[in-house]
Formats: sequence, C-alpha cells, structure tokens
Amino acid sequence: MDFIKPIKLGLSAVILSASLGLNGAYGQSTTLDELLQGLRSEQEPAEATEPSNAEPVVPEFLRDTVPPPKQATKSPAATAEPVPGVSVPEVEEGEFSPFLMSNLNEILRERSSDSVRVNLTFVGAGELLTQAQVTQGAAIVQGIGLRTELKPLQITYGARLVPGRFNILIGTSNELRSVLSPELIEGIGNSGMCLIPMPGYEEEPVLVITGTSAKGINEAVLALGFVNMDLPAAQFLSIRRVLFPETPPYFGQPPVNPGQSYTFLQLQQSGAPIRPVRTGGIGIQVFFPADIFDRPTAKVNVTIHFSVGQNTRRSSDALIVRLNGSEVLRTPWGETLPADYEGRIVTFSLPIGRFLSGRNLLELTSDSGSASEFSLSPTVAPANDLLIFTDSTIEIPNVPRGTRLPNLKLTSRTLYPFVGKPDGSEIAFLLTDNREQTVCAAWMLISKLSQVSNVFLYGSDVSFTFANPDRHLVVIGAQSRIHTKLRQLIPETSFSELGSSKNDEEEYFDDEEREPTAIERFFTNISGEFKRIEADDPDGIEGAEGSIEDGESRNPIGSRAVMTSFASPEKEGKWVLVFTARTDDLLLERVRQLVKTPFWSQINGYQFSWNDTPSSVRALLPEKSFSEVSFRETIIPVPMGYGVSLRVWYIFSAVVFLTFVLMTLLVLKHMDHTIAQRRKE
Amino acid sequence: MVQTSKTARHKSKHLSLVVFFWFLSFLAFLFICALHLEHRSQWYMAGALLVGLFVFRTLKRSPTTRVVFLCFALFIVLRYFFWRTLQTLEYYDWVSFSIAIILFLAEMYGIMIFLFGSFVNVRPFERKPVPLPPEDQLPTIDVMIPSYNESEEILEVTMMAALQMRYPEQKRKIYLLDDGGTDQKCTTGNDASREQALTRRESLFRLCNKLGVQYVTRERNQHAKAGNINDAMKKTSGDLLLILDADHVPTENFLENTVGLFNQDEKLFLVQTPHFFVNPDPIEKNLNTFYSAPSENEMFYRVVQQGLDYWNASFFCGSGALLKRDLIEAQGGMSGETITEDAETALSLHQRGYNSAFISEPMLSGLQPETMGGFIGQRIRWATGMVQIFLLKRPIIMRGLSFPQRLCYANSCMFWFFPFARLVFLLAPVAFLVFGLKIYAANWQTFSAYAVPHLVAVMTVSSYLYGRVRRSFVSELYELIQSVYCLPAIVKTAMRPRAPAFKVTPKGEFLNRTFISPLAFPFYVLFLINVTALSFGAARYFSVPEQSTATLITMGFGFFNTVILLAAIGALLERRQRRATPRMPVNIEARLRIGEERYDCRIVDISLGGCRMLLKPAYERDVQKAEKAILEVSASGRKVDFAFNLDLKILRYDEDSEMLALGAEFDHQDLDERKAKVRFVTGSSDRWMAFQKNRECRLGVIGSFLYLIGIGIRYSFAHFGYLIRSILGNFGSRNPSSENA
Repeated sequence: MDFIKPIKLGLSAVILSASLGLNGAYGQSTTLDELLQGLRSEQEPAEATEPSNAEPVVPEFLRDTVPPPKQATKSPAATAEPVPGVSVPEVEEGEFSPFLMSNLNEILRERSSDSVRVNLTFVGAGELLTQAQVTQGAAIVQGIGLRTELKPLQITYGARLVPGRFNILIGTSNELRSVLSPELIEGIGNSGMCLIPMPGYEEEPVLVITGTSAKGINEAVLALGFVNMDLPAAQFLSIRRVLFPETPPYFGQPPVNPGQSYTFLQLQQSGAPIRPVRTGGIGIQVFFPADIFDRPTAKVNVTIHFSVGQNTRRSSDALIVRLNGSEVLRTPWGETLPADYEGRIVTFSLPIGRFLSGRNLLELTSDSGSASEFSLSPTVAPANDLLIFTDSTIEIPNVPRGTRLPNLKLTSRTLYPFVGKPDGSEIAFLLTDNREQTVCAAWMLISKLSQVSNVFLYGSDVSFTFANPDRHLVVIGAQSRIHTKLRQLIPETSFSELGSSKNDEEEYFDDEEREPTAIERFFTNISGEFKRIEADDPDGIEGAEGSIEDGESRNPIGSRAVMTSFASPEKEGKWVLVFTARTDDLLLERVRQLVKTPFWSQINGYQFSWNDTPSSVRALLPEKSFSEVSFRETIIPVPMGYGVSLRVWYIFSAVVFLTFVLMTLLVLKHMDHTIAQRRKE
Repeated sequence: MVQTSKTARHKSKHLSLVVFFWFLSFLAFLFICALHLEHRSQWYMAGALLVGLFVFRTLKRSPTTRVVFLCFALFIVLRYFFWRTLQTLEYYDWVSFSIAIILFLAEMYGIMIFLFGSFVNVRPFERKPVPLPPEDQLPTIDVMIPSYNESEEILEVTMMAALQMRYPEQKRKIYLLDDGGTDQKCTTGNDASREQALTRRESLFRLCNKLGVQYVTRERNQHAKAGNINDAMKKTSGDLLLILDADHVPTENFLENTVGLFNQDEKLFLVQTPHFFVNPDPIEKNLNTFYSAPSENEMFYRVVQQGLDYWNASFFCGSGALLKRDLIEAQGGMSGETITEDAETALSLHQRGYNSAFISEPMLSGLQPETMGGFIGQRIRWATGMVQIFLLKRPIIMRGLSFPQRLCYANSCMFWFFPFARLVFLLAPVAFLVFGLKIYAANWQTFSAYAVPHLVAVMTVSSYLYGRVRRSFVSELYELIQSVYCLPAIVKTAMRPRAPAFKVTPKGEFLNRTFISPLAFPFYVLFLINVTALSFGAARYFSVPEQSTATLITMGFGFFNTVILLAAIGALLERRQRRATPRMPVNIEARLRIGEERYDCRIVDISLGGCRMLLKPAYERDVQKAEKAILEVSASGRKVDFAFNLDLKILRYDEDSEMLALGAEFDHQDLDERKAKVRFVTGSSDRWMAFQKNRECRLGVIGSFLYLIGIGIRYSFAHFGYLIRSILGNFGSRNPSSENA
C-alpha cells in the first residue's frame, strides 16, 4: 500500500546514474541535476520492504517456461535449475544488441508491426494482484507504451515468463538473485533496471525492474516513463534518486501553444519525431492541444525552408505537403521563393480546423516520393536530395481555447478533459475489481490513453478499491460491477444491436446467463429486493440476478462493449469515462480490439460501442442521438473567449447590457434635466 | 446667487459622476461586444437580441423604449464591428487584401454613421412655439431675401408672403438683397451682362417700391451669399434677422411661432425651421413618387434636426431661420470660409457657447431644382461645403463645443463622405463574382451569425427612426445617384479644401420636353458591370460548388445593387413638366360665382397659377358656358375671406369622384388680389403639415424593396425604351420623342 503514495505525488525528475555494461566499465553516468532547477526536496521515503534473507529458490516465473523446440536446442538446460545470473550472448561490434538499455525503444518497436505483446511478471504475486502491483503495472505499461509510439500493447500478466512476448520482470534484487548476476545486482544498486536474456531463449530480452526495496522498484518504474531521456548503452540502468519538480513536465511531446511560432528544430528538441515517412519525404509530428478553438478564419502559417538537389529536381517538379495523409499543397519548384541565405522558401496557410487535436503528421515530400533521399538539416544541403532546413517554422494562430463536451473523439485523441496536468494527477482510474481480465483491460487502456495523450500519467490514481471524487474518473470493468449511479447513465441499448444500422448477428443469452437490465434493476430496486452493488463488491450482482423472474422477455443483449463519457453526477466540473461490457472476458476481448487503430480511430460521439469487427462500431453523436438517449452537453469553463458560451457569461453579458442601458437612461435623464435648466435660464 | 451657483456646481459634479459611471458601463459593454463566440452561440445571442429589438420596436414609443431599442441595436452592430475587424480580414494576396481593406473601411464608415445617427436621434426634441411677448417688448426684425439670379416672379411671391407675415408692421422690415444688380455687375465690360444687370436692378427696384420692400445691393459680389448678408447687416439695424432664400415663401405665422423663443433664451442665436418644398425634386418627379412618398429632405428636417436640437446642435440651413443680429455681428458677421456659410456660422456660434433651436413645423415653402443637373449641383455644393467644414474647422476637436455637439457636427459633416462607401458597396460584389477575389473572410455560418443580424438591426433601426419620413432604400437610391458625381468633388475638396466656389442652385427652371439626363452614362456602365457580375456569379455557382453559398450571398448583394441601379436609371429620364407652377393637393370648400349664381365646389389642388375644383355634375351646363368666374373661399361660414377672379379653362368629368373637374387660372385684377392669392396659396403652415402627413406611410423593409423593384423596372424600361427610340430616331426610322409632341 505504501507504493501508492509516491506514485500519487508524482514524479518530476529522476537522477540517474548509469553504467556502461557488464564488463565493469562504469564510467558513464547521466544526471539531470544541471537541467532541473528549483527541485523540491525529496519526498519522504516510502517504507522500505525488509529485504528477505531467505535462500534463493527456483523462482515461480522460471519454473514452467517451456522453450520452443528451436530455442530448446540452443538452451536445453533452461528452467530446471536455479540460474545464478544469465549471461548475455556475445554480439559482434556494430551488430544490434537487444540487451543494451539504449536499444530498448527499438526493441519494442521492432517486435511487431501492429501491436506489442507484453507480459508482466511480478515475482511472488498471487493469482490476483494487489493494489500496489496493479498501480505499478499501470505505470510500467505506460512507460513501455510511450516507447512504442502508437503501437498498442497487448498485455498479459502471470507468474511465469512467456516466450514470444516482451517480458517484464518486477521484483526486489533479493527475489531476483537467481536470475541476476551479482555484478548486475551490485551495478544496479538500490534501484534500476536491466535487460537480460530469457532463460532458455537467449535472444529474447527480458526487462527487469528491480531495487533493493519496494521504493527502489517504484523509482525504477517511474524512470521507465522518462521517454525523452537517452538510456545508456549498457545492460543496466542504475537510479540514484527521484526528485519531484514544482511543475509536472511533459515526458512526451508537449502540445503546441496558440499564438506561438515553432521552428522545426524547436519541435524536434521538444520531442516531436521527425523522420522519413512511408510516402517518402519527411514527416513531422505536431501535437495540437485538445481544447483548441476551431475558429473558421484562423490559419496555421507554415514556412518551409528547403533546398532541392539535382536528382530531385530532375525527377520531380513540385514540393508536396500532406497533412494527416491528405495533400494540402503542391508547389512547383519554380513558384517557391529563394531564401535569403540558401535554398528556397515556400509559405502557406492552412485553416486550423484541418489540424486534429492531438497528433498531426505533416509530410513534406516531392513528386519523386521515396525514390529520393530526404533529410532534415540545419544548414548544409547534400547535392542530390530534398533537404528541409530546421529553421522552417510553423506558426499557430492565437485562438481561444475551449471545447464542447463530452467528445469521445477528442478524448481518444488527447485524453481531454481527463488529462489536465501532464502528470495525470487529475485522473483516477477505477477498476471494478482486480480480476485478471479487468486488470489487463485496464492496463491496455491506460497505456493507450497515455500514448494518445503523449503523457506519462504517473500522478494518476489507479485503484480497484477507491475512487477519489475530486478527480476525473475513468471506470473500467464489467457493467454489472459499475457503481449504480454511473451504470444508470449508460443506456441498455448500447450493449445491443438495437437501433444499429449494422446487421450483426444478435446474441441471445439465456435468462440464467444474462444480467439484469437497468429497467429491471429499477423495478427490483423499488420493490426492495435489489441489493446495492458496490464497486468493491464484485459478487453483489448475484443478488440482483436472483431477483429477475424467469420467463421475462428475452432482450437481445449483445456482445458489444461500450465507451461513454458524461459529467460526473457527484462533482461539478469533473467527468467520467467508462469502458464496459457485459462480462470481464468480453471486456478484455473488446479492449484488445479497441486499442488497435481500426477501432480506436473510429471513436466518436458521446457514446461509442463496438463488437468484434471494425465495421461493427456505433457512435452516438449529439446531433444524431437516439431518441431514448438523454444527452447532456456541457462546456468546459476554461478560456475566457470561448467560455462566454457558458451560461455564466450569458448572465454576465446580460447584466452588463442591462447596466449599460440603465446607465444610458440615467445619463439621458440627467441630460434632460440639464438641458431643461439651460432652456429656462 | 451664490446659492444658485453652488447648486449648479453640485449638479454639474453629479452629472460628471453619472457620466463617469456610464463610461465604465460602456467599457464593460464594449468588452462583451468584443467577445468572440462560436457561430452557434452567436446565433442564439443575436437571435435573442433581435427578439429584444423587435419587441421594443412594437412597444409604444417613449423616450425609454427608444433608448432600450437603440441599445439592443447597438449591441448587435458592435458585435458585428468587432467580429468584422478581428476575424474577417485575411491576407490572401495583395489585390484581394487591398479590396478587402477598402470594403472594410466602407463598412466601418457605415457603422460610424449608424452610431452617430443613433446618438443624434436618441432623444429628438419637438419644440413647441413660444407665445410672443407684448408688442412693446417685441424685437425688431429685418427680413432679408438674398437673391442672385432668380426671376422677378419668384421674388415677388416671396416678398408678398414676407409682407403678410403676422407681426407689427413697424417692427419688421423686408429687404431684397440683390446680388444680381451690384455695381460691379452693372459696370462690367460685357455689354450683355451689364445690360442684364441694369435691367434687373431697375425692375426689381420698381417691384420693391411697389410692394413696400427695401431694395439693397452692394458694390462688389464678394463672399457670395454670406457677403451679401453681411453687407446688408451694415445697412440695417433690426434685432433679429430672418433669412429667406429667394424662392422660400414664408407662411403667415412664421414670426409668431419663432420670435418668442428669443425672449426665452438670452443666448439663443438661431431658430431654424424646416424647408418644405412644393415641387418634386427630379428623382421624385421622374419616378413619380412626390405625392405618394415622403420627400428625401424630410428625414433631415423632421427627424435629424430635432435630434440635433436636443444636443443644442441644430444648425443654420441658409434660409427659413431667425438669427440674432448682435451675436452674429459679435463673431464678425456670417462666416464665409466655406461654401456652406450657414452651417459654418452656426458652428462658430455654438463654439462660442450660444444656443440654437429648431421648430419642426414647416413655415415656408420653397422650390427644388427641376433638373438632375441642378439637383446634383446643389448636392455637390452641400457635400463640398460640409467636407470643407470637416477639414478646415475640424469640429471633432474644436474647442468650445460640447462633446455631444462635436459628435453632432461630425455626423453632419461625415455623412457627406457617403459616395465613397456607396460606390464601394456597388462594386465590391464584382470583385468576388467576376475576379474571385477573397475580400471577406467568413463562411456562411459566421456570416449568418454576425452579418445578417447586423443588417437586420441596421434596417430595423433605420425604419424605426426614419420610417415615418423615409421609405427604406430611398437613401441608397439618392446616395447612389449623387455618389458618381459627388465623389470627384469630395476628392478635389479633400486635396484643396479652400478651392471650391459658391454656385447658386438653379430654381424655377421649366422642362418642356422629356429627355435622358446627360448624367446617365456612368449608370449604364455600372448597370452593365453589375449584370455581368451576376452572370459570372451564376456561372461560378455551378462551376465552383464549394463556394456556392458565398456566391449566392454575394449575388444577393449584386441583385440589390442592380435594383437600385435600375431605379437610378429610371430617375435619369428627365420628364417633361406639365405645369409651370407646382400644384399642391388641398381639400378646401369654396364657392364659384358665375354672374350672380354661386355654385358649391371643392378645391382639390392649388398653385400660384391656378386651381382645380370639383363640382356637382348638375352644374355642367352652367359652368360649361362661362369663361370667367370668381372663387370665394369662406373661412368660417358666411364671411368671405378671399375672392379671386378666375379664367375657367378645362372642364371634364372626373370618373374617380364622379364629379365635374374644373381647371382654372387665377386672373388677378390688382396687387391686393395678387397678394391675397399668395397668402391664400402659401400662407398656411397647416396645409404643408397636412400634405406631409398624407405622404407618411410605412411600407416596411420588404414592402419598400418590392416597391423599389416595381418602380425600378417600370421607369428603367421607360428609360431604355426612350434610349432605343432615340437611337433608332437618329437613324431616321421615326421621331424619337413622340412623348414631347
């Protein structure tokens, strides 16, 4: 339980010391002392777990690891005996090593083209994870997710390492004594992580997060979220201490601010990936704030400073700009202007509405596409390529901020309005229980939300026991276990195909299997037979099931999962986001699908449901809501210009107007009097 | 005395405090006007404001509802102003941007005039005449009739009417100030001019002697009308000066209604009265609206001057006004730096802290220019003069004027910059429809949220303030016709403010044939441009579907411009005058004496030349034979007030009234009868008021527009028909002007 505290308080800086590998070259260490100013004093140390002095035994996570036949030939001796330290296979100079921390991002990205399968193993964990482990896991999957860019994670956890997945092993150094060599344990010290080969599968790396105590593990988990920081070209990373700065920093790419101009260099330095894209040319990621006001006349001005080599010039005739895959500009070389220094300049404006909240990919290419080489450079132009100079700029118009909520599309792209501070300290993730399916679904969603918002939500609450009412709430779990108040805000039809334009096969559940509908619960509630289902009482539903009479109408209850958002019924200004399905298994299955692009990219409206195919998705939009769905639209009271849309501003405007009218009448009355006097005189 | 002074100081302090708080509330109001809303929210807000506007429009008019109504409009207009300024100016290319800025400036000008107009008219002050003091306390009055080239007939009527104004004879003197017979003109080297001047001087001198009017002329023609009056002031000594233009015929009660105000206010330097015209201006005449719609000048004389009067800023209009001699003399006589000496003089006296007053009852009748040339010339003079005042006197920053007076004078002067805005509005749609220039950065949602409510509000306010005296879109028509010719004059004046010279407006011209005004050509060009733009617009609508909404909206403006242009072209076919003296509709019971027999009749229209009567059909045989008759008009039963000899001219059956219509000409036998005729025809202000009242009609915005379309099509077709016949006539096919036969 002590683990929660530092996580909730939030991490702001980590001071790391890293060493260069197994061969005793400890010379390289990284510290952020110079970069971080005004750091708060270190938080009170969490209560350390007493190191266990027990003799090392064969750990659970190694016992049943069965290598595939091919691997087995390489390492037939795996698993049976305790492994006092796993040696790293020899790698020739210049070859890619999967056991260097600096290659961690690459290891993750190259695992699969569409998703990364991750398995978490908590040493000594039971079948059901503890609150601390769930919270720890949430932070780990975010750290991993942010390193895979937008590739979704398919997460499992268990007592054993699973070949074919990217395994993460979490435990104290004492617990891991059997797999970590003494040199590694010594190098890591109090807190750290390392990459080791999976026993029996020497080419498969396992990320080990460890420390001498629970606090040490926590610090290592938090350090994993520092995605902008280069990791050492060493097998392990040692963390000396973690400091919390005054203001939560962005660990991913921060959003651009209205009214400011950015050079490509600045974007790059702030974490924007700028690299060749599939269509050829260079892609620059620009992260737009969620609540940017789409003023029709506001324009984003872009100035591209570039040069064209001989090859490119011969093979093409225009500079092409694409935004999120759509061509927005095609300028023949001849129509571009010579720059003052070298190269050429092209300037264009795009309505701000063409940029999406969240990530936007601005591609710069030529007609020749991938046939040419492209590069980004501060000055020098290679002879034959299209070169984009880093002094190219993008100017964001000064538009007010604000948006209309709920808007799941916006949430799915930016986690707005749930992410207020970039540490996620305004969010509470509430899992309805700690069953494996629920936890894995929650981790996948947390990881996905972290990815899309570009934020490491280390300050968020993750709990299956308590939801902080002062925070925005993200509820994940089976429908029947969601708190009554929230559950009643999710229409039953969302789980069925009723009203759907799709003709998916409807699934009928037997009365014994099905769970009560809200209407049924309502009636059973007033008849006094309904037992209130608390969030921490996953079995409470059974009482409700018993109250449903046999032979009631067979409602077509579906295999859909639902994502919905609404204003908190408890707390003004707070929002609730719910991911739910009829059962845990169904939820896990659906979440596995949801985090994939074909589903995720379709999230829209204020209520979204999906089945097992991308074509099965259904979104309820404010304008097209079904008649039986009540919908409350609210405006976030953030910027003044936009905030006038709020009633309070209407009232203010009315009051000012009334005052002005009354004052005008008063002045004229006085004028009447003065003029009458003048005429009499 | 000390107590009074203290009280005054206390009240002034109190007023300052109230104004200060008003200013604070105004700043807050500006703030909420400037807040940007997404179009949906703005729809709701504008909708609510428009509802408020219409509710207060329908409520019974009171000073309070008027203020609230204007505040609602102000809210809408200022929101548009801020949106237009902050959101709609985008740089695409320099050509588009230049035109966008020009259009923006034109719109800003329109908004400024709207704001000034709202301010001026927030509290129109309807003054009542003040009774005259006892005779021994009455001030002496010099009635001055400046003349330059007006005919003897016109002057005779004016002088006769002036002589019959009710006021003790010993207390008023009439002077004809003849600038057409000055020593300079009578000794000029040009024989014809000299002869003409000598003849004029002699005949007018004789006329004045005959009537009992003093003939005054001077050595040299210096400083035009202002110089003429200044010269006469040196030769006269009355306490008050009544200035009458040569064609401005006063009613009997003029002095009764105006002199008393001077007794009430020591600092009063001016009492201005409205100019009422008995003949139509060329636009009214050519579009045949004189008897059915209020004249263009009524807006100024029946509404704006009342508004100016509230702020103590009503100004001298050159005629029909009483001025206090000692105050005029104290500031060096009539001002003459600009060619609108009247407004300039008033400005100068307001600056010195003196007061002016306006009485809205029409107490003189005048003549408007008959031809479009004369009309445009008059307007160019006014525009030039007011622009001169704006540039040379700078009323906005003039010391001595109160803040409201500055705004009022700024409004009066800046109004005359309308040609710039009008032509921009006329040509702006062309820029988009033909050339595709992006001159207004908005989509239809924001346009409908901001611009449409603004247009509705402006039209509603215009209808509310002026609807009684001006139909919607009449301003646009008059402004358009003047713009083409006033703009160059304004530009010239702006470049050389001291250069313009005074030109006398021709009065009493007579058009004996129909012809196309020589001023018509630019309007053909503008019409062609607009029609071409509309054609391009139609093509653009189908060829550029993504701009279809913008194209439709712009075509709407183009269509509006085309309708106005059609009406303008219709007005530029100068129609033949059927009568030398304009007839006014009346309804007077009278008796026609033929021999010893008397026949009851009703006079239905009257002029200084004659009248038309309706008689019972039974009288036909008796009247048919007679050539002469005497018209007896009884004011109260038996007593015969007037008896006029008539030459009976035309008798016909009037189908509308099912009566006999008898046309007759006055055949006065002596001077007294002629004077009586002038008194009878022109002496009653009630008649002018009744005439104005009869023309009042609210058509509403849509009704006015449909009416404009109707007359535009009808008279422009007549114009084009005439033009085609003229061209064909030149080729010898037929006589082009059969209408003139």
